[in-house]
Formats: sequence, structure tokens, C-alpha cells
Amino acid sequence: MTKDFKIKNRIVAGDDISYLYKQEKSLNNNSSKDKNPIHVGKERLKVALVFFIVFFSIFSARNTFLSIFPGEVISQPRNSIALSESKPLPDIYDRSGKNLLTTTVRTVRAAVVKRSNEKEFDIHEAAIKLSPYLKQDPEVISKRLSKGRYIELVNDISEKEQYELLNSGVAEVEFNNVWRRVFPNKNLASHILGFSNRDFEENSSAGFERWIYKNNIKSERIDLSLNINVQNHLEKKLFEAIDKYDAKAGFGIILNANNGEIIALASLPNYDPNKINYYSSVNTKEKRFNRAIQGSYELGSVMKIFTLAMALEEETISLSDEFDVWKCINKSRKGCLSDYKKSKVQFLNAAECLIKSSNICMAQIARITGLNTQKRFLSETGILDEQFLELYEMGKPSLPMRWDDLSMEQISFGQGISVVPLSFVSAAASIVNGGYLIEPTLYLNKNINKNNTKLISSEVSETMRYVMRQVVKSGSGKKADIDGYEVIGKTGTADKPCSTGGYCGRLTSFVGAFPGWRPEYIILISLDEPQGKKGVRGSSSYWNAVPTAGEIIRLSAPLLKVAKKNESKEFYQNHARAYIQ
Amino acid sequence: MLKYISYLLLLIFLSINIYHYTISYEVIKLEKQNNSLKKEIFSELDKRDQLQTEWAIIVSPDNLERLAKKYSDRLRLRPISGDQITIIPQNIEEGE
Repeated sequence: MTKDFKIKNRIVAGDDISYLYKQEKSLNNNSSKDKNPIHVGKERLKVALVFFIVFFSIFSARNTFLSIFPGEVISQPRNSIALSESKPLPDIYDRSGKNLLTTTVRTVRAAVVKRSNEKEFDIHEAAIKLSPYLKQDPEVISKRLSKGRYIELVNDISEKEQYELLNSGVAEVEFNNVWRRVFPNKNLASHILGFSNRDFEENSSAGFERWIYKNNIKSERIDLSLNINVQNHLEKKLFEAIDKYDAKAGFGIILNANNGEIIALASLPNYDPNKINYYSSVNTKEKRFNRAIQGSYELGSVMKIFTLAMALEEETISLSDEFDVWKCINKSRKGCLSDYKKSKVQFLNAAECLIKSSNICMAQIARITGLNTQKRFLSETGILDEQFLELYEMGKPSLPMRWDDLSMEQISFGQGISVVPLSFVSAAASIVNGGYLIEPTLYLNKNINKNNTKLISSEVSETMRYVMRQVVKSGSGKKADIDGYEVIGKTGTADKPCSTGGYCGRLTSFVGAFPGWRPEYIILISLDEPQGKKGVRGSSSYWNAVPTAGEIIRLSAPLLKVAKKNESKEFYQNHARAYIQ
Repeated sequence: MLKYISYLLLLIFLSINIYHYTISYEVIKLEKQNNSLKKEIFSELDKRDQLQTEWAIIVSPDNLERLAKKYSDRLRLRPISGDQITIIPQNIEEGE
């Protein structure tokens, strides 16, 4: 201080230095120290410095922290919900790469979101503002708005509608892009593909969609074994048949007889999965029921192929053994067991029994083979168990309460046992494909390298093909005999058991395979309660299910690249000679 | 000596902070850019999806059948028949 003083203030003799003295004096004076402005300023600067250092350290520390851990602070933009990684569910294609189910985001959803800090949201005013755009009564809207904090207004709106809603003046309206599953083929294969609601909730989904959720499949695409063109023909022809024969419903399955891939599966009536959310669940219950896999039916005479194959495999009978079909068996109050059409001759050989579809004969064959063999054989075919498929809506077969001799006889010709159609078809395939058991699947190339176990020997399978060829060639399956494919098959007309007891209505079926010389595909067509009409004399399978199946085979075989056989070879005749004579 | 070390430390501290600061800003900038690119990609994918969906609707069997019927005079399209399919001879022999 004094040094400065000396430099800054030069004192010359004669100057009045009394003011200096005063200053010095006042500086040394303790009582006036706090009041000295310089001192106060210094003190304040010190405080400010402390504050500055503290804040600077906090800022620096925070800055360093933020630089090192930026994740917590740098937030994603709001609209990035729509950017969410990739599609929520895989697209589905058929075996030839045609799109069956795809996902787009074009659906815009508008909703009123009441944020917690906006307490003064005038519901009534908002309702009045929104009513012209939503085309609803303001009171209805205000009722809806009073419930909850997130109220969805409309879904799937156009850009124009979005613009209008934005201009309605209600600030709480927010828009979101949502994923949407699109079924380009509408009703086609709807029972297989199923549906999902737009929020992809597991419970409100069905079919393959449900399979995808439940198994959390994340792949980008799934190739199914379906052929959409064959599926189209199957559904169209079934629809026409239902219309033509006044049937209540119908279903059809086309399966690859060698590897179990499902080529087409239809159950009519069906639904449009694009619109399923607009229907009430009650209205669609009937439509959503997949008869081909969820239902279980007494399929009738088509089951006779198992009885014959079983007896031939066990070698309890041979094809030339003769049976008395005028015999009275199972005498009860209702009389003897009867055939659909009484045979003109008393004795039929085993092959003719199947061709003429004799119940009496089948009951006798079952008696010879025995109860336990029947049980074992049928359980080996898999029709007594729940069928596995990549869907959750699988039905269960219903077996007789007491499997005794009477039910054994009934089962031999397809009564008293209800089976799931898909299980039946896969079991029937093993009768004609050389005896190999197959596993139905919806996936393409899933079973390609699988070694299947045998149900029956190749020879028995060949014999069965021969007999089933005769059914189509000269028996009840005549109308399905499509030239060039040597179709083999078996018809069935079953009386449906009523809920009140007894039987009411009919279920007609045809199970067939083509080409007959080495079956590649197996087909089952069933119609529920078809009627005889003008031009259609009867209501048995011969009149409805068989011609429908024939039409479907005629249209599908070329699509499945099955070539026709040009010259008729007599390869079955050798069998006829070997077995019958 | 201590004073110089303190100054040096302060300098290092400051430069680290400044460096982090610029880096973090750059990251934010890049993230924004990334987001906008993502958005662009997404909208392109969305467009592709829409086109695919439209294509699937156009080539659905139902639609093709309708169109074939509508223009049957000019196109004369018919369902494929079994006679149009043939297999090479060795396969036939194998089949027998």
C-alpha cells in the first residue's frame, strides 16, 4: 500500500498531507473497517469467487459426466416409435413366393391424450369441436372423452382426415402411425393364416398369426407349404358345391401324400381377416370355426380303408376271401345291421366289400381281426390322438366310451368314432403312399429329410391302391375319375349324430389320391348336410362330394405339375390276378 | 511449483471438458443425422412395403380371375389343363 502510495502520489514540500493522515487513520480504525467500500467490494468478490468455483466445478463435473454417459440425456425424437426397428411380425409367403400376409404402417390412428399437466381440459368443448369430423353426436363423444386418459378416436384415417382433425382446434388430439397386417388375398386361406387385431395382442388372434406370437418368431419371412392357386380352386369349388347342393358348410384338404405338406386347406364359410375387427365376435363364431382341423366328425365309409388295410396287413384275410353280406349281424330292436344299398349277390370278396362299401362285410372283417388289433392299428395311424400342426386351434377326436365288440364293428365302417379331418387325411395318406406315416405341416420343406416309420407294408399299400382305384373306376367314386390321373379314393356318407340323440343330417365325404400309380397328393372333400335337388337325385357322397373333388383334382393337378398318363397301362391288372385269383 | 502444477491441471481439466463438450455436440448432431437417415430409410421401406402389398393384391387369384373374365374376348385365357403338362420320358419310366 505504501509502495503504491509512493509511486502514485508524489508529495512535494508544502503540500497538505493532512488528508493522508486522515485516510491512514480511518483504515486503521476497526469500527469503520466494514463500511469501507473497497473492503466490502473485496469481501463480496471473494464470496462471488467461491460461488463461481462451486458452480464451475458442478458444471464441469456434470459436463464430464454427460460426455461420458450421453445415453441418459440424448433422447430419441418422439416420432421414432414408428421407426421401431423392423416389422413386428414376419411376412408370410406361399410355396411359390406369393405374398399371403404383409405388414404396412400406413394406418394412422388419432387419439385424445390427456397429459397430467393439462388439468383444464374442457371435455364438452372438445366434443363439440370434434363432432363434425368424427360424424358423431357431441354427447357421445364427451361421454367417451370422460373415460380415462388415453381415448382412441379413430383408426385407419386418410391424410385428409388427419389434416381436418388437426385443424379442429383440439390440442390434445395426437396421431400415431401403427403397423397393420394386410391380407391381400382376403378370404383365401383365412382359416390357416388367422388374424390379429391391430395391437397384436396374443389373445385376440387366431391361426398362424397366433402361432407367430406365441412362439415369438422374429424372422423376416415365412414360407408356407400352401399353394394359393390350388387353395383358390379348392375354396371356389367348395363354395359352388355348398351353393349347388344347399349344404350347410363344407371343408377340404389337399395334402402332399409323401411329406405331409399342406397344399390347401379350406373350411367354409370363412371370413375376411382384414375386416375381422369390425365384426362382433358372436357373428363370426360360426365363420371362424375351422372344420378341417377344429372339428371332429364321424366320417363314415371312408374309414373302411383302415379296416381293410389293417386286415390285409395282419394277414387275417386275403383280398379274395368272401363274405356273406345277406347275413344278419348285430340284431337289435332296430333290426339287423344294413348296408346303404343291399347287395344283389350274397357273397362279396374283400375287394368288392370296399368297392360296394358294405357295412356288414366290414363288421365281419373287424370281428376276424379282433378288437385289440383294431385299437392298436388305429392308434398307430394317429387318428386317435390330438393332431399336431403349427396352429393352436386343434380339435380332439372323440372316442367311444366303451370300446367293446359293438363299437369295434361300428368303427369298422366309420361310425361311433369322431376324428379330426386333418388327422384322417394324413392317416389315409399312409395307406396309399407305400405305407409311410406322415406328419402334416404348414412349413415348406420341413419334413424333407425325414425318415418316416411304416404303418403298413408297401405291398398292402399297393393292394389298397388297386382296390381304391376300382372304387373310382367302377364304384361310387366314378364322378371323380379324371381322365389321365387314375384317381383312387373312397366315398363316405355318414349320418350325423344329433345333440338330442340319434342321427340327423348327413356328412358326405370323398377321400382320394392322385396320380393313382404313385400318389403324390391326397384330397379330402366333405359337405355338411347337402340336399338332393333338381338334377341331383340323391344326397349321398356320389352326388355331391365326389364330383366336387373331381373338379378340384382336374383344376389342381396341372398346377401341382402332375402329368397325365397318356397310354393306359395295365399295371393294376397284375395285382388283380395276384390277389383275387 | 505447486502453483504451476495446479495451473497445468486446471488447463488439462478445462481442455478435457472442452473436448468432451465438442464431442458430445458432435454426437448429438450425428445422432440427429442418423435419425433423419433412419426415417428416410424407413419411409423408403414403407413405400416398398406398400408397393409389395399393392402388387400382392393385384396378383391375387381372385383379382386375376376377374380380369381374365373381363378381358376374355381379347386375351382368351383359360385355366391350365392337364394336357399342357408333360414329364420327360425317363421320369415316366421311373414312375412305373
